[in-house]
Amino acid sequence: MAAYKLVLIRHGESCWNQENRFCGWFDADLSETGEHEAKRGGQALKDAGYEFDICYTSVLKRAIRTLWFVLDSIDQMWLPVHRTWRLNERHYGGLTGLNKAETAAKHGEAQVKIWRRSFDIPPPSMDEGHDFYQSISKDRRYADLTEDQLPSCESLKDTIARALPFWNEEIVPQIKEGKRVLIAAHGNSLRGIVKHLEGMSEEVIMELNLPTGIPIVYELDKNLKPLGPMQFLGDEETVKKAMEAVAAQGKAKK
Amino acid sequence: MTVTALLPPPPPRYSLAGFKTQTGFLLLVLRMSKYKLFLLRHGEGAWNKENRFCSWVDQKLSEDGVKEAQDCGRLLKEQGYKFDLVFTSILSRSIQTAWLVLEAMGQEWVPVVKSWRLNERHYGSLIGLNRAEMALQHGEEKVKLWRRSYDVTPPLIDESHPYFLEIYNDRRYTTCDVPKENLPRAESLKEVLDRLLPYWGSTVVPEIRKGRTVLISAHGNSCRALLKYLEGISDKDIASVTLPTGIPVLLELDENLKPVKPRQLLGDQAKIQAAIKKVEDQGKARPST
Repeated sequence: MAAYKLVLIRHGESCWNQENRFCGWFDADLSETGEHEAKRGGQALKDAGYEFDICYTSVLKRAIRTLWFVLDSIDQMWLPVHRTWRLNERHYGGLTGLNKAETAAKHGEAQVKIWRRSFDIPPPSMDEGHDFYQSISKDRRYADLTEDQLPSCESLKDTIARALPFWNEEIVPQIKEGKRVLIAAHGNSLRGIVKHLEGMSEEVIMELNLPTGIPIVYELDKNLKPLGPMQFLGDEETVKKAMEAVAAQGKAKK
Repeated sequence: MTVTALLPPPPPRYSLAGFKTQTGFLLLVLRMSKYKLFLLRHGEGAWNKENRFCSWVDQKLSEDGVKEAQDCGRLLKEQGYKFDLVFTSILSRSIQTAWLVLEAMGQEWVPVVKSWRLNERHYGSLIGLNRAEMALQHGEEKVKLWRRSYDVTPPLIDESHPYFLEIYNDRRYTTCDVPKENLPRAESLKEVLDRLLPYWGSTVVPEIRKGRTVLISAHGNSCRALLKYLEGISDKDIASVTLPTGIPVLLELDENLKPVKPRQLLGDQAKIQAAIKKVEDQGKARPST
């Protein structure tokens, strides 16, 4: 019997996804497709009658707006929402803004493969000369971060290391108080939570790509251990496609 | 001879205020603007269009109301304002307004804090009634009394009212800082201020004092109540204060949180006048078409 239910949702397509650019901490907005994905996710939660007590999201608009679309759909706009940089997408450092082809051209295919396959090797730093240094590192929203906290680049390991303290110190106590939690965030910050919940190895989490715009439900026991695999909410076809895509990922060799 | 003529004009952050002392001297005080506070009354909801008292019924914005919020956000962005914190009620239309404003400004990341204490005035059994029909039934004067007197409470809402369950069965009212049974069943403007002021003092003021630029996205009467308090408007005079919808109101406050100059309605002045007139016209009786 599930003591708790947790819902995660990864935001949908952003304008930069469309252009195949490394986004990271750049505050790209949702594309029209991404907005549609968020509304569809909200509708799935509405159809299933989900109620929440508290919501968490990052400080990037693509996740925040996804949450807003969902709250609008389920008529729970009045819920408290906590925004934190710790749920931000992974910081892609010097790769931010480059598209995949440019990246390969600049750094070589071999190096790109290392960054993609590695759990703990970060991309090059975003230094002061970078196009997006001012608009990201000096953005007002990060004014309260210490020098140690503000990243100039992150490996997946780094991302998880700064996301988990928030999960443990802020989110877990709320779940244990019986609050029904909704988290709207990004591929890599959510990977951190999933890896932790399921006790996944580094190799396994690296192969897992969470579907976008589809509510992901975990039923947890009183120790916050999942009672089963993650479940997807939506119409039959959407859910089937998502499950197949996730299953296929482990098999693909890049 | 006026003393003011001898002084140079104060620099923009200062405002000159004059006080007559008991011995008849004109005492001039330089009041320094230390904090900026923004109030915003949300735009049109579906029921505003029908001229019905919406109050605690949870309506979302109409298409026009959405545009009003977006225009407001664009204006604030153009003028370069940066918010640190937004307060809203727990009614969807004020939250939706805040979200649209933040979106237009690219400031979606700014924290938004919600409380029932910023809710619209509770109109009791008048909720859902069309203003024009009410005026025809009870007379313009009685409706004016309920709407514009400071301390006359409208008749209480009870279980027989068509919107009673929609309001009091709503889960959000189990999350308030008072038990549901103690929430209002009707309010005068005075009673709105009575439940708003503790929140202002305990939660909003400390943020302002930290130097945070605050936006309060709320409703006609919760904004009016707060203005009455901040500006020291009398019980009589508050009746004639009308806040237009979708127009940001800027208050510049000194270190004691007293306004250093009259409130500023930001934006195109012709647009503002039209918005004020629109609200005032709603109060007049018109036969329903």
